[in-house]
Amino acid sequence: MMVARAAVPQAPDTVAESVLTVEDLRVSYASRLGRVLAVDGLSFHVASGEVLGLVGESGSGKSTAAMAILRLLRPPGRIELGRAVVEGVDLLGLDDSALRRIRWRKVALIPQGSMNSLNPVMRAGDQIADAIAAHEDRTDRVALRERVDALLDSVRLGRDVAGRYPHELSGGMRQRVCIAMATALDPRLLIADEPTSALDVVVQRAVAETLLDATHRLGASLILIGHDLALQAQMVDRVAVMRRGRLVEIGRVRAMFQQPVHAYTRALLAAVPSIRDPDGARRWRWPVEPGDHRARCFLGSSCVQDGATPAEALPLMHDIGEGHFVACRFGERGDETTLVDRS
Amino acid sequence: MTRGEHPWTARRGWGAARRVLPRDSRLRTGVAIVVGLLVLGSVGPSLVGPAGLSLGAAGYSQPPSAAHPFGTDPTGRDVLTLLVYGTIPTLTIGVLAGGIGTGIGVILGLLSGYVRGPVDTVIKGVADVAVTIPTLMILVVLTALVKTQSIALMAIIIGLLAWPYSARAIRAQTLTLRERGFVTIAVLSGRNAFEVMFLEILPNLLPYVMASLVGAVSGAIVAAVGLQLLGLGPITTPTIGLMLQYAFQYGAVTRGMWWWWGPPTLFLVLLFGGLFLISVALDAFSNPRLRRVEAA
Repeated sequence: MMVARAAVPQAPDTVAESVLTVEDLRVSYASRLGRVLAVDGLSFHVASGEVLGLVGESGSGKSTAAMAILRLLRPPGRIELGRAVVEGVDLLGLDDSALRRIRWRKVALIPQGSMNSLNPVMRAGDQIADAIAAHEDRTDRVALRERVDALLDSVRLGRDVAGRYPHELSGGMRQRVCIAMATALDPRLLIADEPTSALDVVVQRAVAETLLDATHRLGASLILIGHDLALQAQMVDRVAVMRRGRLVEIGRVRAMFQQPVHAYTRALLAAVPSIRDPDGARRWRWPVEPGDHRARCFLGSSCVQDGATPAEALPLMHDIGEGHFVACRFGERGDETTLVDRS
Repeated sequence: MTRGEHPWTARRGWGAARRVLPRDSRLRTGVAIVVGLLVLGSVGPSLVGPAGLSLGAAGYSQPPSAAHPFGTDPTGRDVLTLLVYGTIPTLTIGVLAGGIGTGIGVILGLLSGYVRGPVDTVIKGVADVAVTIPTLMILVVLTALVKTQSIALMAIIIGLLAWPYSARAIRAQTLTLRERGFVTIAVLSGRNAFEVMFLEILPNLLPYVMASLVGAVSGAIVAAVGLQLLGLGPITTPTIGLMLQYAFQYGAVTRGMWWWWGPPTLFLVLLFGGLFLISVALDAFSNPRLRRVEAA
């Protein structure tokens, strides 16, 4: 079943200068229950210098999408379809050696804070130096040492950290080392997969600021994956909401968080406890039906729009103004007059 | 954060090895024994001299005396001299064969665990089958065919058959390490498969490799001695196994010549005891579940 391709949403103020353009990405996992679509027709772009948030519940496909873009997906995961274009080069179509040359130079990853992202038996400085040396053949030790020092400075770590092993560093320091590694080759795009999970709120904030600083300093773009909506609200320019492998809404973070359109976005935001409305989160119930692709548009019984019948076809992304796109057949604020053409 | 404050991560790496291992009394005892035997083998020959090696140099079948502390054998050779000269060749067989076996095992284990797929199926399949076949049986056939006349050749043959044990251990560890974040980062930052295996994963496995090596060394010595007891070893170089071969062949036990078979037996007991202690200590280090609770 092929769904008509949704237009790639463009932010209003950025037209051509996109660092990453993802088109119709489809990723599946082979499982005992058959093929499960983890990412289904995902399209978005990241403008130059922009910070894009990618949010959604666990299993919504955000990490899978990131891994697919970086070509880190391993069986049973499989990229079925799509393009991920960085500066005119489709990452998904590259052979291994070309991929090795371009990855980390153009696109780097800052892994989850809870992951063992540093080699426990290598000094932090050596790991940063190795990442540089792997891409630049001629690097003398002194120059490398200086670059490592500069990188550590840039993430506000002392130079002595270079000589330490990961177990001698705190969680926040380790994550800063990861940021230093990721920015070592001046990439155009950083992908941070829940970079501050497993850190306490104070450290979380400090690491998040370091990450933003580093991104701006390089003039790079950042995709920030996570489900901490408060953090997203502070850090990102635009936010994309995913559910069941599809984008349901994307737009400027301020506008979207103030006036979410899609029922799921509203539910997601309502789930954040509010001091003004302590019972707010309880009004929303979203049944979890793994693998139930009939309800992909989330209408029907679980939709807040009373009286709606489950959609037979998937609603397409449509523009509701100012770079705000939503995948709901009800238009703005549930007004049926702005129904999308589903032909 | 100061050193050793992080109990979980502190268990990995050489920093931890340096802290934990020197305090382990089993390791210290084991190392002391093995080093002691090494000293015996390296310093001993220059002290006793080669005179006792020639046939009929001393009286025949003499019990221990002041001139011959460990007595002499029926051909008139000095038992102490034989023991001292046989030490280094015996240890050489063990280290050479153990090193070859562990080296092959590490390479195959890393390949099997990291590359996976058909490579893994073949290596794992062969290793699993190989460990069920008694090595000595294959060795007997092989050495009879090759007619080993040098200890190096015997060591190579033993080593070539010793890899499945370490391959299995290294494979199992590689399987868990390859899923760690730092491997993902290494791949992403442009390291190829060999660099990931040998520069990222292998350093994490060094405690396992060491434990595996020690086990392989003592296994190799057992195999060598076993072959020699069956009369299948080289007879040109003095070794502990060769001493035992002659002792049993010429009825040392029934003739009551305890000084003939006793010293080499004691030597092997000490050597295996020492290696066993080292291996247990290294095992406890690389597998924290076996480690006794450390005092805070």
